[in-house]
Amino acid sequence: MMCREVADLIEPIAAGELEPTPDVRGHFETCPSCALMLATARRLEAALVAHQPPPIPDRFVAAVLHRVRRERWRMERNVDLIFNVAIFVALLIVVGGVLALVDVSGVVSASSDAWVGLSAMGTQVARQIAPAINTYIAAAGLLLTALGMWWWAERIPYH
Amino acid sequence: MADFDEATLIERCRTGDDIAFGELVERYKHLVYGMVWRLTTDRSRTDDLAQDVFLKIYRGLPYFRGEARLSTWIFRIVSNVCAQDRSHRREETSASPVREPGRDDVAFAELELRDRLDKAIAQLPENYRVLIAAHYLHEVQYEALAEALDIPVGTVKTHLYRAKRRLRELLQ
Repeated sequence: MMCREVADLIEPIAAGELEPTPDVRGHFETCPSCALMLATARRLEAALVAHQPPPIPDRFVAAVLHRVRRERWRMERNVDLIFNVAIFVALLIVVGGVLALVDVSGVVSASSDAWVGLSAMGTQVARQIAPAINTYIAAAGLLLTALGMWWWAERIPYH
Repeated sequence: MADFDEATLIERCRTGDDIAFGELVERYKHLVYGMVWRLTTDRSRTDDLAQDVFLKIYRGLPYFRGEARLSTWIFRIVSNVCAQDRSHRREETSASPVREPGRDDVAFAELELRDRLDKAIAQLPENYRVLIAAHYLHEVQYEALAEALDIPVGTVKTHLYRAKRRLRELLQ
């Protein structure tokens, strides 16, 4: 029997899926090269069988579900954002369309009168709040800090 | 945990049912985790990559048409996730020849063989690597593998023998 004839039988024999015939067995007994290949194949087979993954961590399923929930939350947030932007753009288009439909010069004149009125009102409000301006600035600062902390907390990845 | 058949399970997962998706993860966690563990070159990343696989399954379920078996589709996702990870972290994977162990260092030689085996497996073509990874997980036999990969049992055996021969040549 020739070496090339047994070459294709080495892996099935090593895996225990093929019983070698007396001829094949005889060849392995007399051919050191093929015997070494069979021995290596058997060691390889044993190593592959023995080499099993470690136990799955207990928290694995919970961790997957946690990531899935975060993914869903992100997707919903993106949908909300897109919806809000779409609403804002739609409003701008509607306002623009209304302005284009009415007499623009009339609108400009009316808005000019409204501006004068608003300026007078603004001046009066400014005079009233001037003595307490420090309090308003401190309150605005606190509000901005709180909003900043909220924004930062939302961005922290949690596991 | 509820016991759904596969089609019902998929449908329930598509509606955002967390219990159903938890059941899907329970069913396939051993397959996914074991495959990832065998296919990745960085074992410390097994947990993260296996989670990535399930996240991709979650994202892809709405587009899964059920033409192939769920396990076939999962095999492909595992294979893709590990291949992407490998392409990100190319490593030196040369396999050195097997040294015949002496009687006094058999245990050490077996550990050494495992290490070289990992490196040799990393050098196999992708389809051989997936077959080796799947077949040597406890529960996946030829028939199940053929069904999962949608190829004949004979082809599975032939490819596995070729893969092992290639491994042996790399190690010898």
